Amino acid sequence: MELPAKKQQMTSLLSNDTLGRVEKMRLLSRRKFTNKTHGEHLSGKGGTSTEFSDYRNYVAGDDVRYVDWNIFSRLGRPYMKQYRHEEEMHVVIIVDASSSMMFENKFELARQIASALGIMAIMNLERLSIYGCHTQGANPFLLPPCSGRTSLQRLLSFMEGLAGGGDQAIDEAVETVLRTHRGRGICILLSDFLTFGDLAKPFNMLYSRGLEIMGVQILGPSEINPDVNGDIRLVDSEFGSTLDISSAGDLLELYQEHRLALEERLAMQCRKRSGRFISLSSESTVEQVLFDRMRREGWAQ
Amino acid sequence: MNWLQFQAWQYSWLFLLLIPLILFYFLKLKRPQQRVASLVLWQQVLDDQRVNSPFQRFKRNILLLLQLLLLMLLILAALQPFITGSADQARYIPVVIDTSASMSATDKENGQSRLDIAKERVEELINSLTSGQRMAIVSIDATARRLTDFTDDKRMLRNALANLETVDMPSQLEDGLRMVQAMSRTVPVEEVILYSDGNFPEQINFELPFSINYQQLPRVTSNLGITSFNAQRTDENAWDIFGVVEAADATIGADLRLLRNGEVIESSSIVVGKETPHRFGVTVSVSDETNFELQLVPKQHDALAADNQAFLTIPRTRALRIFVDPEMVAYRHVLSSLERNEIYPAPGTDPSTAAGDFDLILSRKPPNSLRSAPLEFYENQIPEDAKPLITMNEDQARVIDWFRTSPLLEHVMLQNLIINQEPAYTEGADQKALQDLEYEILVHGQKGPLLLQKKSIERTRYYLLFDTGQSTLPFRIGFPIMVTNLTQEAMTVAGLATAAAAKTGVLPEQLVQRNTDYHVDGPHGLDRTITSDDNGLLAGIPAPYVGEYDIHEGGDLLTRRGASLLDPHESSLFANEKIQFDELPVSAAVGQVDTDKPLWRYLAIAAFAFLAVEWWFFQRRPTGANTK
Repeated sequence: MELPAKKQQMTSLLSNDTLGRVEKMRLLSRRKFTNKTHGEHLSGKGGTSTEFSDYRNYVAGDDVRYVDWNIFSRLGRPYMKQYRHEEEMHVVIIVDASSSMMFENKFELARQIASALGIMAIMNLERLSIYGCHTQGANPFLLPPCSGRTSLQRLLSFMEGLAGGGDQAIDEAVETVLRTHRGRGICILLSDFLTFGDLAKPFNMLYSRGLEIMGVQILGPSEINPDVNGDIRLVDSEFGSTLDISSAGDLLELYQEHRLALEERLAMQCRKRSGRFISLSSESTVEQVLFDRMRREGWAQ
Repeated sequence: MNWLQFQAWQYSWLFLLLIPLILFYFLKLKRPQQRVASLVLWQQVLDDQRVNSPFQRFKRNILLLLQLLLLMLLILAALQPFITGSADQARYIPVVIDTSASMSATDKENGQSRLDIAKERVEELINSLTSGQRMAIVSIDATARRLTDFTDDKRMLRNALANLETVDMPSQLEDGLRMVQAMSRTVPVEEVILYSDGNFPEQINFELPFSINYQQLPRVTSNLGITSFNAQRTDENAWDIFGVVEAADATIGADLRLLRNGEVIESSSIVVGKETPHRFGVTVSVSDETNFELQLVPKQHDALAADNQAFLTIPRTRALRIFVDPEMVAYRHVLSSLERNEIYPAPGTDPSTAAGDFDLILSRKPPNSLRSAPLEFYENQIPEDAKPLITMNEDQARVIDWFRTSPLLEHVMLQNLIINQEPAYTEGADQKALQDLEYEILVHGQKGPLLLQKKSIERTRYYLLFDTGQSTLPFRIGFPIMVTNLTQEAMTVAGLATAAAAKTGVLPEQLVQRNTDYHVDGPHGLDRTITSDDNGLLAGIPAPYVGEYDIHEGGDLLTRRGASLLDPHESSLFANEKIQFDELPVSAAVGQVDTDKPLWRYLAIAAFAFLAVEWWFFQRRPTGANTK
C-alpha cells in the first residue's frame, strides 16, 4: 500500500495548520468606513444590500425611497429602512524593518503576524497593502494593494522576501507610507515603537486618513527584562550611538517603569483614536498571538 | 588638645597617584559594550534619574569615587597619621619596669599580677610607637637589667616584654635610674616612664637628670608573709629558732608549719593583722647540719606567694678554733674565760705547730701562709702595703674618734685611751690614700689611724697599729668587750652562734674543693655550673627565686641551701605614691601615659571595607531585574 506523500509546506512563515486556521478568520474593525467600493466587510452603518439591518427615524433630506411605507401606514410616522452595507476595507500593514527589529526574533514574529493578518484580509476580499519600512529616505518595500485568494502566493512571497535592517523610525515610516497610500480601513503597525520621535503626529495622520490604528508592539526578552549590571556602554543598533551607564543594576527598576509607561502611552494614543494596542514578547509564538491574544482582545475572529 | 598629625610626610607625593588614576579612569575606561535594539528607553531612564537624583552625577562615577577613596585611605595610611597625646612627643622613651617580688602580687578577682598589668600597658606603648620613636626597656629588681637598647623594632620590644618575669628580690630603683642615666649619655632622654607598684623606699638617693613619669600600678593589700627566720645558739647543741609573720593591710588567718629536713615538727594556726604580727619561737636540738623550712599556708587570698616559705640551715655545732699568739697574753686571758673556744697553740707548745685553718687568728706577726682564718686580728702591725703611708712616732697618741657601729667596737669606749706610740701619716699621705688601698679606718688618732680594717671576699683583717701593751687598753673595760666582739664576729662568720635564713639574690658562699665545678639546680628550672676559686670558696651562686638550691659535685648532692624573701617591705606590699629624690619629689601619675594613637590601621581597615563595598556594589544581583 502506498503512503500518501507528505503535505508540502506552503510558506516558511506559517505552518499549514496555522495557515488553514488563519484563512477562516477575519479582522474585526471598530470604525465605520465609507469606501464606495463594495467589499465583503460588513459596515456598522446602514448600507444598500438586500439584507435588512434596522430602522431609524426619518430626517429631512433622507432618500424617500428607503421609507418603509408599511410602517408609515400603520404608525403614521416615516421610518427609514436600513440595510447592511458590505463595503471594501483597506488593510494597511506597516512592518518596521529597521535594525532595532533585528533582535531576538522580533522581526520574524512581525513577519509572521503580518502574513497571518494579511491572509485574513485577502481571504475576506479586503484590499491589502504591506509596507516594509527600513531605511530613512529610502522607499519602503511595498506589496501593492491586492485582494482575494489569488493574491495569497504573492503575499507569502513578499513576506518571505522581506529583509530587515535600516535606521528608519516608526513615526517616520508612517509618514512615508501615508504620502502614497489612499484608502480607509485598518492600519496595522508592527513595530517595537522604540523611537525618539513623537508618535502622536503619525497617529493623528492615520486617524485623519480614516485608518483604524492597530498597534502591535513586539519587544525582545532582553528589552522586557534586561540583564545588565555594572558600568556598561550601550550601543544603538540603528544609529550606532552609545550611552554609558554606571551601576546599571540600579536602573533596572526605573527601566521597567519607563517600559510600562511607554506601553501605557502607546495604548492611550491608540485608544484616543479608536484604535487598539497590544504588546508582545518576541518569545511568543504566532499561534499564541493569533488564536489566543488577538481573539481575546477582539482583533479577529 | 589632641590633633591629627602625620609621621611620614615624605610619602605625601603619593597623592600624585590620584592624577594617573583619574586619567586612566577617563581615558582608558573600558566599559563592556552591549548592543541593544534602541537606546530610547535607556535614555529616558538616565534623563529621569538625573532629574530625580541630584547626586546621580557622582553616582555615575561611583567606581571612580570608590577608587579615589580607596587610594586616599591607603595614602593616608602610608602617611602614618596619629592623634597626638597630651605629652610632648619624645624621640627616645626609656621604660623602667619594676620586677621585684611585690610585682608578682596578684589580684583576688582575676589572678592578674602587677607585672601582667605593667606588661599590658607597656604593650600599648609599644603599639603606639610612631616612626622615629625608639624605646628601651629596663627591668629593675635587685639589679637593673637593660632588656633592649633604644630601638624601634616592635618585635624585639615585645619579645623582651614577653620574657620579662618577676624575681623574688626587692627592687633597687636607683640602679634602674642610673642605668637609664648611663643610656642617656648617648641619646637625649627627657622622660623616663616607670611602671611600679611603688614598693620601694620613699627616699631615693639619685639626682634626676630627666623627668620621671611614675605609673603606679593598682595596689593589692591582702598579703601574709614570713619576714624573719633565724636561729641563735643557746647551748652546746640547742638552738632557738625565731620567725616573724607579718600581714599587709588585711587580717588573714593561716597555718604555720616548721619542717626539719622535710618533716613537720611544729604546726599552729595563726591570725595576723597589720598591727599584730605573729612571732614564732621554738627550741631545737641540732648536732649535725640541719635544714629547716617555715611554711605559711594562708586560709584566704594571699597576693604574694614568694614570702610564704623561708629556709634556714643550722650548721654542725663545734667549738670556735682560735689561734692566739702566745705573746698576746692579755688576749689569751680574756679568751680563756669565754666558752666554746679552742685556743691554739696550747700553752708551752711551739706556735709553728699550730698551722692550718682557724676561725679566728690573733697575731703580732704579719699574715703568713702557715695559717688562715676568715677573721684575723693583728696587733702592732702596719700592713705591708700601708707602710709608705704610715710611720710610727715615739710620742703619745690619743683617740680622736672611732667607728662605734663596727662589730669590733660595739660598746667599746676608747676616749682618754693613752698610747705610748703614735702612728702618723707620712708626709703627703692622708686618709684618702688609705681608702684607696681599701682600708677602712676604725679608730682615728691625732696624727694617723690607730685601727684599720680591710675586707676581702675571703676574710676580714683588723690591724691594730700600736702595741696593746704600750697603752692603757688592756686595763679598760672596753678591752674584754672588744675581744668578745671579735669572737662573736668570728662565731657569726663561722655560723656557730647564729644562723639566719639566706635571702634571695646570691647564696652564701660555700667552702668546698678548690677549682672544682659544681652544678646548681634551683627553682624555676635554674641550672648553673659554678667553679670554686683557689681558696675553695664557691661564691656567687645566683638565687633569684625563693626555694631550695641543690649543689651537686659530680653527680652527688653536696648540700642543699634555701633562699627566702624575708623582706618586710616587700611583704607589706606598701605602695609609695610619691618618690622623694634628692631635689624634688615625683608623684604617681593620675592617668596612664597618653600616647600618640596611630591611625594607619583604621585607615587600612577602612580601605579594605571600601574594597569590599566596591566588590559587593558591582557584583550584587541587580534589583528589579525580574519586574514584569
